[in-house]
Amino acid sequence: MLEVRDLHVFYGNIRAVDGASLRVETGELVAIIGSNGAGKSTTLKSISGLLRSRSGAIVYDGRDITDESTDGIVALGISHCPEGRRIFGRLTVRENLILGGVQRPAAEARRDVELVGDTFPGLRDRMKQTGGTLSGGEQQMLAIARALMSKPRLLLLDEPSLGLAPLMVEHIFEVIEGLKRQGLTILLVEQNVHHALDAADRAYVMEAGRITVEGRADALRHDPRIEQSYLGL
Amino acid sequence: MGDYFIQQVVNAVSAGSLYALMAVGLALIFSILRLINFAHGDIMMVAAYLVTFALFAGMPLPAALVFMVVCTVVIGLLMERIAYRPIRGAAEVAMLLTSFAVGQILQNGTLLVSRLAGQPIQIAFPAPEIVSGVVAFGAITVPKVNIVSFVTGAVLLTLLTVFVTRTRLGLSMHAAAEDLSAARLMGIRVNRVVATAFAISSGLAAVAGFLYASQAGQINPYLGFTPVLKAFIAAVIGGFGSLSGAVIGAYALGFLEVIPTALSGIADILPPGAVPPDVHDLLARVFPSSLGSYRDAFVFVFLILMLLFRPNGIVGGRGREEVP
Repeated sequence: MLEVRDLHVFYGNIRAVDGASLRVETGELVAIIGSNGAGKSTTLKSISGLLRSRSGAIVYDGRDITDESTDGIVALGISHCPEGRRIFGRLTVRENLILGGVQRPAAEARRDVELVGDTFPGLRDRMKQTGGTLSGGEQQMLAIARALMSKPRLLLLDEPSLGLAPLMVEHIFEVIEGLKRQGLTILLVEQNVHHALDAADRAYVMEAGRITVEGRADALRHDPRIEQSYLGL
Repeated sequence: MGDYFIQQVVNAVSAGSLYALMAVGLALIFSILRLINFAHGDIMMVAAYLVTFALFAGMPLPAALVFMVVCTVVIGLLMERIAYRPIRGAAEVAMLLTSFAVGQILQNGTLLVSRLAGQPIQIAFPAPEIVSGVVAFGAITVPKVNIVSFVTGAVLLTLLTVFVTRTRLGLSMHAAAEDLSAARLMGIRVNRVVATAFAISSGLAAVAGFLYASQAGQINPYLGFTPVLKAFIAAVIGGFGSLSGAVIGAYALGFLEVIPTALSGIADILPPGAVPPDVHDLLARVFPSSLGSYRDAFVFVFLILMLLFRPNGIVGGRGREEVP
């Protein structure tokens, strides 16, 4: 479904992604793990068109989307739930959700907003509250719900567990696995390697802008390199 | 006495309405692009010329006004496309300088067209009947243009509020102002949002230009400077980048400007015998009739105090802007 080939991305003169290649098949949950500054978020931003790559190709459903605009990429069915949640804090929960479905027919998007409470019961009674008044966990739920409002076929999830209490992290991963069971394809960037490898089918390890290890998630869980560097065993 | 104060309040509100139409346009652009569009006053000036020439050409008033708004919006969109879009995201000072350049081009372009049309630099504004003369309410006389300014301001600002809070394009504007990257991730077409903001801003400036010219009685290519400065001050007082702040700041400015004028010569307005003679003398000395000419100084002192003690404006809160 998605293939990234030999991606190079720079911030000015600083090399953030240095020849990364990866692929995601339909229905898969693929994780990218690695330490801070390894280029994971940069890779996601390049896929969603927020950043322009210097070289390399991003192919989605057989179509080159390397130079596609972000709104064009959303229209193709890719939704990016960014790191730090990036909720519109001055807008209400409902307005945040409506904006998530901004490209869809208004009536259809409004109807889907009412259904959000079924998947995210915590948001049901908060519709009229402004986003800034939600707790961190609620904001993360809203960020995911908002990203789903565009009815994506591929969800890019960047650090959904960052800064959340352990119980909330469990809950977020339950939601992610639930989405996978519904058939959504997910590319997940996570620093919480334990949870990421539990949920994922396959995983890539990124270091200094390159993919250094790749494989099935259950195999990586017992890979000594991963155990040592990321699982703290 | 009471009439005198009502008169001053009416003046303040009508000036405030005009500033609000300008300041909201300025704040709308700033909130999304961090661009202080100093060409905004020149857009207003161009609108005043457009309606003048349309009326000279014999167009009926409604047609002339529509012509003015449509042409001004087109010019605003061209300005965005040609001058501002290529430097979007550049340093704020680069955008600011660009806006001065755009202003110069508009001023000199207008001067050129005006000369080619055989007009002098200063043209008497052909103010139509609806904005000329005064209406008397008992002892109070109010210039018609003030009433029209107030009503127009109220209607347009209400429509704008409905637009930005009730429509998806309006919400998209909010989103783009709050977090541009997150807005793009929603699939919001940022170019469309920015173009809409410029269209609205220019349309409001056009209406303000017509009202301003009606009040001033004459137009020249440089008339935009004072209003854009006033709108800027209003936006700063209210809290830059916030639409409600711009409106509140605009009305606050309207009242601030009236205070020195209202107080000047207050001793002579009091009915004879209302206060003891020594109080009368004191009032005359503290508030001399020349006080009105210190109006701008008074406003700027207030502005400096605001910047010192409440830099985020009336609605902005005390702390620094929160970085998400």
